[in-house]
Amino acid sequence: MTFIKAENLTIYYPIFGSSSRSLKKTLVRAATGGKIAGDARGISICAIDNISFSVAAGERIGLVGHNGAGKSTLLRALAGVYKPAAGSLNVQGRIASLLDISLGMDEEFTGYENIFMRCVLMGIGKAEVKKHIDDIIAFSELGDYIGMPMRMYSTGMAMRLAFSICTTFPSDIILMDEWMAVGDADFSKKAEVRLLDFIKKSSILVLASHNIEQVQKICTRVLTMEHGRIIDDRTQQ
Amino acid sequence: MLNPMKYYSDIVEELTAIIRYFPMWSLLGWYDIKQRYRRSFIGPFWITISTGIMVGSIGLMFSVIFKAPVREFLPYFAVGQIMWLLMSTQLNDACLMFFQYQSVIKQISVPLSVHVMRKLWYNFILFLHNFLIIIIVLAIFGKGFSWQLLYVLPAIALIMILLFMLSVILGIVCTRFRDITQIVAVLLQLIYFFTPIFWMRKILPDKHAWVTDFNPFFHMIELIRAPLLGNTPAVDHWLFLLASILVSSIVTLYFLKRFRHRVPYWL
Repeated sequence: MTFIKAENLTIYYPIFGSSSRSLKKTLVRAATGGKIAGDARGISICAIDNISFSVAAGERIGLVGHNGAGKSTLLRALAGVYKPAAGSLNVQGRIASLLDISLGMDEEFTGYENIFMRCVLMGIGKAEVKKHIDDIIAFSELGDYIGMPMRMYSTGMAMRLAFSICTTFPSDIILMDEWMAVGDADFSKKAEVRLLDFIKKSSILVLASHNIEQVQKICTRVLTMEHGRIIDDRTQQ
Repeated sequence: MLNPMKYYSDIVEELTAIIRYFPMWSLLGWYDIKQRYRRSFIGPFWITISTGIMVGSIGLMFSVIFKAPVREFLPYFAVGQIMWLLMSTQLNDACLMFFQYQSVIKQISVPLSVHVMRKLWYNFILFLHNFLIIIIVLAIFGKGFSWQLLYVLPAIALIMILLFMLSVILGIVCTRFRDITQIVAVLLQLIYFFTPIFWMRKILPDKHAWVTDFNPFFHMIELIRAPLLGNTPAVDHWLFLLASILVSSIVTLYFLKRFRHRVPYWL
């Protein structure tokens, strides 16, 4: 059963200046009893402030809000990167994190090698990759370029490859930071179809975006965030 | 009531991750090597060549300075130096590894031990390339095959375990306090001179024996060097290494439990 359940979820970012990260400062602080530096934990920013919500299978969530409202932090918390400082977050289901679709890919490697590199970071085994590799290469339209180092690629070509890899293996939960639009006009049409199909196979989508129209088109429910809180939770048709 | 399974679940998860994530860390560590030597004709064997030249020339020079026979000193120095390279590079690298892999750590949820294994695997592959030099040196100056050589296998396994433990600690501490990286570098440089690598243990006067007796690097090197030079390693070395593993494991497991979720925040 796929679902997301957050209860009083709170996330703090500690702020380390160049000074407070040094050992000397910590030692001095310990010696002075922590009064001078104030709070012993130092300064921190509350990125997610005591929010509760739950998402059931089948929902398509849009996260909207200004820069710094906490959208990306929430996505990373859902991806399991940031553990809650307080409250709880329960995410059930296989997660596909499309926050950075070219994560792990390296200019020096060939497109072929990069497919394995990218897939291993998604937790996909070699055998599974080999089964789908022809499809990945075909969709990316890279042709013979697949055997060349990625530094020979244009930005668009590299993105097409990353996109093809990331949309090949269906997952229960998809996390996306901004709607993905890759390639030139022709490719982006084809990519949109593939992405919608990829989303259809999943059971939950969480999409953070500044593009309200896009969110309204795709999502069934829109959460508006401000200062780390959810200020609006609206289900739409 | 504390539920022990729940209390230790973090530790269990970190340790089992070493097996579960084997495909990930082995591929990434190997790709790190490939990436470093991309576009070079002989690839990682450059490391063999550079270490070989270093070991050969310094080995010859010190055998003259110390008036030690080359056939005795060169194998001694080669083994010591190559073991030292493995340990010191791994510990130095460990200080910066989470920082180096931060793009991955901040994007996907992977146990910390996987990143540690990636770095350890990387340095182990480099070590295997360097090991060729030991084989060549022993082929020329060695005493041929003896059953003692087999002691190398458990010794290297234990050393890798200790390096894993120390790397976890250093990785976590140095991510939080960036200055420690520099302190570790200076300390390691210092320890190099206090460890019998380019000088023989037997020239150290007895009253100064503590310099080596309490030096874990000496015990680790000796566990590899003695069998390769045809001797049986003393029991003390095994005991010292096992004790080091025990003590560092306690700290490591505590650190994993306490700080594994903090590391992404510190990057």
